[in-house]
Amino acid sequence: MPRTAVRVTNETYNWVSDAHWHPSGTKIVATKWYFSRRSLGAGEGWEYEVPALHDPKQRRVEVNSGKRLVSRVLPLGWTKAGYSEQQIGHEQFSWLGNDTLVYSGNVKDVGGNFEYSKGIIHAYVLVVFYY
Amino acid sequence: MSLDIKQLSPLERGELPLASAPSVKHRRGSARGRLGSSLIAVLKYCIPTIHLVYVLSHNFVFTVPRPPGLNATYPSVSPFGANYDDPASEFNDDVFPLLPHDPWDISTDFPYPRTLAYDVGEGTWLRLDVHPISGDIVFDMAGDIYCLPAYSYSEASLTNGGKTRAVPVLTGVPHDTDPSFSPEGNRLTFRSDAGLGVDNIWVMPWAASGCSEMDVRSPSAMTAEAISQRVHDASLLAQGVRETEERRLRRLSEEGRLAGLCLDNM
Repeated sequence: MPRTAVRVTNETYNWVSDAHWHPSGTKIVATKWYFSRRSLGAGEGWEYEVPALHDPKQRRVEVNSGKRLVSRVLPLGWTKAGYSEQQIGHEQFSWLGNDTLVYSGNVKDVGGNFEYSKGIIHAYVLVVFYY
Repeated sequence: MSLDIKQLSPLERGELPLASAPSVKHRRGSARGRLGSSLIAVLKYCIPTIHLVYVLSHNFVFTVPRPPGLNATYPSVSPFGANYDDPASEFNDDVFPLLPHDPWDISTDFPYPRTLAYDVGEGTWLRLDVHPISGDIVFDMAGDIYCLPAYSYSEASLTNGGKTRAVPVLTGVPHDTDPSFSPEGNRLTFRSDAGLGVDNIWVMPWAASGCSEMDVRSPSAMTAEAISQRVHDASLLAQGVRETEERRLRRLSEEGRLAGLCLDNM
């Protein structure tokens, strides 16, 4: 087969980063960054199938394909209608075994807005998510 | 100073309680009660965790959960099971962009010469991965991906103080970063803004023989004819001359995105 770079994700606006392979080698988990009023995105955990390199028919990846594994959490009192305005999400997803994700999240900005200049309190924690 | 992790309780070790914990149970309550209770639970458990992470990071001792063995069992009840009310369930993901993009390609729709060249012995903001079998290292620098064969950091090599020239694997205008080998080591994912200029994840095969076979500047690719062709093609792009299919394939090949390379392990 020819050496060909093939896209796994086909995002046209909300970019993705930080891909981590599933132990099976069939899929990855990556952080998809959603813009809101803030130009730095809120992360969500997304799973993407890795297309088969030897089969050209499987290489086509539709725009925005993928599966949301970890959503942002709505701040207290928000309805789902405000979901796109939540500026805080999760990031750094990686597999722990076959069915568990480990990721980090900002637990200081609980109001839906990112606050700058938090100083030394600007702490992140690891959260274990059983999936 | 260091902490003895074994003497701490699970919570103090920075582990969150598992499926039986309040934060998990409350996910099954009403939406409002669930949010309030989980917030309290999250704060309750996170504050010691933040403190511990802070303490540990300042003592250069940091633990992450260890991967379970093959026979490890997980709780059968998932916090994201059938009763989980996904906050994103009413989000149609159509808020942005307001208008569709004009189709364009950062590799071709940029009518300026491509003149960047550098020869350096160190870099910053490099991300790397180690091949699970061969030990070869891939890393990114300034938007290109390179490979260092495992022998470059062998004891003999390090003792001699010898330097190894990194092998370019992916070059060109697209900003390619964050390479990562598949578990079997036969593929490599990376992040690239090829195409629209939006970062996406890409995958490419990885040769069993490693760096040397992935070299886009190998002697066979660096004939005088190929180099002059490359200069000519680049000048056409710089003048804004639309790229033909033949030139496109040639460019992808030179950048490492397309080459007549056969892999026997695919």
